[in-house]
Amino acid sequence: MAGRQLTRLALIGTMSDLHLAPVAYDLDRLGTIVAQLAPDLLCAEITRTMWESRQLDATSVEVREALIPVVAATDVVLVPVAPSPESFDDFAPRHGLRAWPARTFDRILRWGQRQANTVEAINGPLFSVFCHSVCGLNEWSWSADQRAAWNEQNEAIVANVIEAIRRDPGRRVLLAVQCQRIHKLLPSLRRYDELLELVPLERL
Amino acid sequence: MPIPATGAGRNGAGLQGRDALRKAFRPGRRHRSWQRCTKGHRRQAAGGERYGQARPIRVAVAAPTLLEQAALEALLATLPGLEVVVGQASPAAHVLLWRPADAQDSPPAHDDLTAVLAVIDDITVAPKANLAGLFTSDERPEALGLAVRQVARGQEYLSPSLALALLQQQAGSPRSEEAGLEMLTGRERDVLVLLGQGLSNKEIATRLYLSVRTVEGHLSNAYAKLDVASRTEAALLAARLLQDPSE
Repeated sequence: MAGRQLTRLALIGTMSDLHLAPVAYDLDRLGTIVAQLAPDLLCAEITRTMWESRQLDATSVEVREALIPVVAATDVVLVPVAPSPESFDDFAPRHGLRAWPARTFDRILRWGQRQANTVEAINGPLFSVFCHSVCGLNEWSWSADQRAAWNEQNEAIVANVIEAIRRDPGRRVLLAVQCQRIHKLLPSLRRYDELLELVPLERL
Repeated sequence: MPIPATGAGRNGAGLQGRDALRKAFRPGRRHRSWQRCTKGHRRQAAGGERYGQARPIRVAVAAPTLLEQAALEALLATLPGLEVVVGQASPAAHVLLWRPADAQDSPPAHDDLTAVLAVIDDITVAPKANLAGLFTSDERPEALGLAVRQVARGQEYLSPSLALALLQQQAGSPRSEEAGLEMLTGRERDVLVLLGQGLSNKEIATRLYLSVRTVEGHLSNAYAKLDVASRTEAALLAARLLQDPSE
């Protein structure tokens, strides 16, 4: 559309349930980065119901303790984009033959996440390749139904992000999701090049 | 669990490879391969590095007592994106946070471009000076950061409790802006309705899932269509809009 300004969208990956483990992942650093980036809109992994009712107990720790405090203290507006509260681990098989490779790949991923134990490393190119590869192999070991449910949730996140962009076009948007989603979201978001421009964090 | 530093693979290459992988994943003073991979941007892994375009808003503080001055400066220091400066610093402060002693008090000398945000306890002590905003002491401390940002952008700020108090004082004042109201877009009307409920720009943006800048843009357009000069006048009209469901 002539004269229409593209929305600039950057993704930042978080470690979600790994915050519950004793790893040196600095939530304050995540909050500082988001505050410094100062996006107009912060699309976060929280359902609309949880956000509007402020029932935050079931949300991920990085949303509850890093992102929401930043939103409260700045002009950043939080847009909830999660269709449901499930995360990557909730879709993985827990029983049967498929559970063993899923657990193995999960251990490999957690090992990598412990090595890349800063926000910058998690969102750097080396860990991105590592995470995307391991998560892709992990999902390959799932059943078709589990992959379909995982894909459906990610497509719903993309739909909610696009809805937010269409509602308020031309703004700077930061999408904060657990790092296991990024390799699924990026290809889907690239389909909307008439609406948005995917940029690295430092160019937001 | 950390990778063990001792123990070699069958030919030693495994340890070198593992060591290289660990170095690549662990940015620090000695290992900056992740920085070289990030094209063109040299950053340090310590706190205080900057992303994006955010610059601190310079805020000066003026209060009648040393204790109030220190308390406001300490609060501002905890809020992101703000920098406390001495009153006559150069370059001048973007915002002067002023605690008047009483309703007859005047703000201290300041640069013409500095926006003055007064901190008061209630409307009875609101000074008659030329102000960019009024912030009441019953608001949340972190809301002060939002108020400073809003006036720094050239917008007015009025604490919700003051907006409601002003509405109650001026209830019943006749206005005839029906034509202007009809010119509003649906989104401008939504924003105006929430303004009439005493919400701040940030609260309106949060409620409607819009950016603060978009809300400010809608308000500016609404002010022009309604031919009003201030947030208070617009809020009064919005209150009429709320009271008249046929609008």
